[in-house]
Amino acid sequence: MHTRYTDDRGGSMSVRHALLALLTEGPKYGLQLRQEFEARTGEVWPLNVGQVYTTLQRLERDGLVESDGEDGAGTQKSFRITAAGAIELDAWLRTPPDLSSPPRDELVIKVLVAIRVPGVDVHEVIQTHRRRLVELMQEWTRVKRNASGDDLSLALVVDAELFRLDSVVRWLDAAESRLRRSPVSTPAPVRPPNKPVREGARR
Amino acid sequence: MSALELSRVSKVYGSGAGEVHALRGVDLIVEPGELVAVMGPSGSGKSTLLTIAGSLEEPSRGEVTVGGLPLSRLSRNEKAALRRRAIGYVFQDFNLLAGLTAAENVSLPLELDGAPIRTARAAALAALERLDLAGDADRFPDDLSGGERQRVAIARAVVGQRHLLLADEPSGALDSVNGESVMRLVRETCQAGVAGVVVTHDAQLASWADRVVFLRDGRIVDQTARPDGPESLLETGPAR
Amino acid sequence: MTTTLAAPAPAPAPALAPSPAGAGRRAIRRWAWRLLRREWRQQLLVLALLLTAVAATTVGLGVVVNVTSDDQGQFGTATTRIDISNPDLGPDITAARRAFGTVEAIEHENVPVPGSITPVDLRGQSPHGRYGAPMLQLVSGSWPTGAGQAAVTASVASTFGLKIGGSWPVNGRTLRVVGIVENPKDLQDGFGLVAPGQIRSPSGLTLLTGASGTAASHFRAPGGNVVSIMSNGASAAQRQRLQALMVLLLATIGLSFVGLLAVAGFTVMAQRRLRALGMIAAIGATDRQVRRVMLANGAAVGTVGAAAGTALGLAVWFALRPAFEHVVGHRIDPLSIPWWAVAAAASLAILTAVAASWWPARSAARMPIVAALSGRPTPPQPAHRFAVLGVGLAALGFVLLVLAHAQHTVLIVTGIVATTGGMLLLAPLGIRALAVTARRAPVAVRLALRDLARYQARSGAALAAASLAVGIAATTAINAAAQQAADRTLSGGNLPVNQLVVWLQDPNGGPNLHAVAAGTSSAPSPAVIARARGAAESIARTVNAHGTLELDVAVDPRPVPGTVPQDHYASVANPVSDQGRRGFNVLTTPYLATPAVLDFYRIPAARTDANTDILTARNDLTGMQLLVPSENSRFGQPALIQTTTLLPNYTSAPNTLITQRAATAHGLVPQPVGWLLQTAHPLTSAQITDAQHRATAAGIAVETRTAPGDSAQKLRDYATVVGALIALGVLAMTVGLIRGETANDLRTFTAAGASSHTRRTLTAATAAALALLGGILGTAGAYLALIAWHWRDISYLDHPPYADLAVLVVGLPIAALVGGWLFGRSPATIARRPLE
Repeated sequence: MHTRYTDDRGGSMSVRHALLALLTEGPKYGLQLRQEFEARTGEVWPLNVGQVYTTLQRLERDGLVESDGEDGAGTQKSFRITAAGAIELDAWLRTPPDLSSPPRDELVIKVLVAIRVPGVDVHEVIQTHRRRLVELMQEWTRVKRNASGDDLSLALVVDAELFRLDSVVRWLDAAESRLRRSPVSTPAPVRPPNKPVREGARR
Repeated sequence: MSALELSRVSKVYGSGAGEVHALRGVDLIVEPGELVAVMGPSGSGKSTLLTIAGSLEEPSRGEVTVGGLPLSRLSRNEKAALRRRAIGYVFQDFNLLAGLTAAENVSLPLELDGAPIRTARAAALAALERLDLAGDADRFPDDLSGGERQRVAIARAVVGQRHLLLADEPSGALDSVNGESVMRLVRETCQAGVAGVVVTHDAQLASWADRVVFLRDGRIVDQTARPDGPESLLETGPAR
Repeated sequence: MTTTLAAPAPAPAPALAPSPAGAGRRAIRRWAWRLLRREWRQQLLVLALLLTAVAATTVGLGVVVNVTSDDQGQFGTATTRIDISNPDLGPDITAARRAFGTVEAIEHENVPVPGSITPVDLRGQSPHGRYGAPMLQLVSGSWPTGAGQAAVTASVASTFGLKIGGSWPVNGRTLRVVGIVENPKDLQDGFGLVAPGQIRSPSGLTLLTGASGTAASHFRAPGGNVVSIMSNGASAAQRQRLQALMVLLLATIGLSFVGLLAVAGFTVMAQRRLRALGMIAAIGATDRQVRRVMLANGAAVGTVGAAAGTALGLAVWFALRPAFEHVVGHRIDPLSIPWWAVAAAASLAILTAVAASWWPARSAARMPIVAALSGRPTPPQPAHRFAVLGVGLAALGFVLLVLAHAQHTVLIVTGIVATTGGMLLLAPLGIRALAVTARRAPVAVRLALRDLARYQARSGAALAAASLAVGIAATTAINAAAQQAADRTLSGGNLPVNQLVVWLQDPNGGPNLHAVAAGTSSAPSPAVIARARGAAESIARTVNAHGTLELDVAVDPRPVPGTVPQDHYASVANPVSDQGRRGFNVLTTPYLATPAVLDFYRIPAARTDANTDILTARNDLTGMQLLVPSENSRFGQPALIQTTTLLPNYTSAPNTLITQRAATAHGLVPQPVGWLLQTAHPLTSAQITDAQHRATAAGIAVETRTAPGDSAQKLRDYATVVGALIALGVLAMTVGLIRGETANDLRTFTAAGASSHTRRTLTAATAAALALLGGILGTAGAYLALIAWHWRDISYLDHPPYADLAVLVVGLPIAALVGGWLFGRSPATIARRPLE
């Protein structure tokens, strides 16, 4: 069982607008765009050349960029942003991402299933995921720690990852504490749920 | 020799019907230079673990060894000496004596230990310097920001020759950027050879540790694997 | 960017050798000093409490040693004083010189005051006499040196209207006034002074010698009659013993007070510092170092409080001295303070403060560090255990005070300390009881009382301090009342300030004025009586008196050979039997209980028993006999004497009456001797002088109040007021101390929507509860101590000052309630929470 704790919604959407943003600085070649993209995102999001050109072609088709080079000679083509492209970029920057519809999160489904499957300790399942998440966070933190202090983009991107992973960990925490409070729904608890020790009981 | 070793440590508060088991047979070894985060929800016993490791409380059962010294064999005064010389504490919010300047707060453990005032101050200034607080040495805690206060507290916790740094939600009262800088300092301190234990419920803080130990109802239920190395993320991590 | 976590070399095992002795003392001291400097506002109340206690003790010490004049007003530096009446100066002085060697003679001459029955004493005395020098002091002008020169006291100057340089006609000669003098040891001593040998017609002679009283007791004056022989030695020793005892008592009570207040203050401070103390323990301070923080702070606060308190006390003493001189009636050397006692009190106050901080320091050091860090106080000890110990201690104190016989110093000190300690330990029980009763009270009251019970350590000490303050006030009040009762025979002077008696004759054996005036020894004729009555009525009109009250004596009309008219008066007497001869000791001549007198003093006939012979305000007449001159050869039954507080307590007012039934039964007839006049306001000196002139014209005399005031009485009044004020002040400060600690609660309370009304209720309830308990405990403690003190003469306490005690037990809580309400607003900075 392996879950990739990634979000694959709208990934290409972001690349599309990121390229538009890079072009606001002036006309650029495809290869140049890829290098700058990676530099700006702290090399956390590697792009392959194909992805760049597919995206650029779609942008050109939609009339958001225009190229000056001849068809086919992709690498040497220089792209520039159109007025429509600028409007689109501006609108996108201000449009809140779609957070309202619940994602079909694999992890949520797994936890929901684990509750129903006899003989499976849902706490153990949760802990396994939690551990893996924290390990991932440790890795991201290590990236941040080893990066030079003035790499702002990298810090922002890593923070975004960390906060996202952190939110998942928190959901697991919340799920676990909810499960403890309604022990009936957990058919096969391996360990009897203990009464939570109050923080205030420490002396 | 490990910097901190807890073996089969249990702690029970109260008795009879009001009995509360804060820790149930905890084993934990922290090596010099290692930063361990103890993660758990409130009431999991993580603060108790820290106070027992720091000799502020005695375990009901089990043994705690700091730098090879079993705490159960030490007198109250010897434990105090251990805290002055080997153990550094950082609490969540209340760390500094309002009546003393930053430098005096930092040099307090050394002075309590009988160090000459000049030596103690020099050591304190050095510690503050390392934490980028050299300019604040003669300011009073009331005049420092929350982040600065916490950094002074860390300076106090590491001044002199420390073996063990214990921190209870050290960035609890701070925003995430200030909290991060505090954790970065803890991390760097450990890199210099001090064993660190941070208890927290916050995964982001815990992720600064080499190893994260998960505490539930007074038991250690899991821990993260020793990391492969920093490069692993970019190789195996999600590609876009 | 590769960072391998290179395993550092393992740190060496920490060495646990103890740090050098006294390590960190400097850091601890620095912190304690900074605590005092930075948090002086929060320690202000503790400081103020200490300061008040030390200052009060210092002033009290000054008062105690100076309240009674040494006998130098009468003796000078001599040990024995012999008074001789109608002396023959030369032979008497020579005889004395032969008997005792060095003798200083003071000659006396009576100078009648027109219209007054009290003559002025003219003394022939050297201002530089061997013994008498301390009895004289020049206020202005110069000493009289030669013939025809005189000096007078201020009161005599005003009686005769004299000024320096003026002339004073005295018994047929004229003296020139050259100076104003006084007797510094007795400011109420009014006299004229001439140089020795300038007395023409001596009425008395005083001999001062260094001889012992026993040696002097055999002295017989060849010329005059020895009236009295007084020896200074015994009384001086007794006075010194009493003074030392008072100093000791006061110092003990003062220091117990300091101790209780310090315990209250330091308990509060230890609680406030709990987290800080836990924190330094967490970073490795040893128990001893933690203790030392509190002790150093205690020493610092104690030193500042003791120094400032002593300074304030001395300042108050110096400022009050002139006023105090007039109260006690003698000059006071401002430096005449028991310096050793003041210094000892100050240094003991510091020690007490350190000792008082020791207990909280010990509990702070012993507390589990984790509990201290979280700022959680240790749960209160069960109150009943303290209570048992408290009852035991109070009982021990009682027994010790009883055994001390009011003189055994060690027992007294331990007794007082034990009683105080008992009160301290009983306090929590009272607080608990109050908290239990408050279960159904409104939330603010409930919270206030529960806080008191929960933070028992601090509220207990605060309550004990308030109780001791009340106890001091109660003791002074009870003592004052007891003294007053005991003083019934001495009364509050001759007359109140708004009364005047026009005398036809002095009924108590003074000069028979009519006889003196008429040169006869017969009873006054009706014409004389009518003239005197007319004069009395005219005086009554000029002073706006409410009419005249005729005072009649009961006269035995049967002739008794060889007697003067006064001997015919019925009197109250004590039968004495001396070496086979039986006689009577006349105590007083009662006035006839005419309807007018009974009505004047509002004595209902129903309140008088049918068989009563004598009605009196005096309490020393019990067992006495009614002496009727024609029956005086036989001992009779003791008279039926009924005491009543309705009759006045003045020597020249009708304080003793013979009932008309008794007068009739003994065949006695009334005879007027004087008229009592009462005005709405105190008589002015102009009115008195005018009355004296009118009386002189009619050949009679008036009597007005002689003493400006009874100093002992005044002093007791002041002491009661001061005691009550200190109690109130201490109460206010302790309430402040306690409520200051619950500022956080108040914040929460305000956040929860409590109005200022609720917050005021909270403070007012705390103050009133402490005041009520303090009032009850303090009064009970005071009575306990006083009962023990007067164990052998418990009737001394028969007259409880109900009004004063009601003020303490009921008035104090009400005052505290009102004060708490008025000043119990929320703290100014609700939002700001200081960094601990």
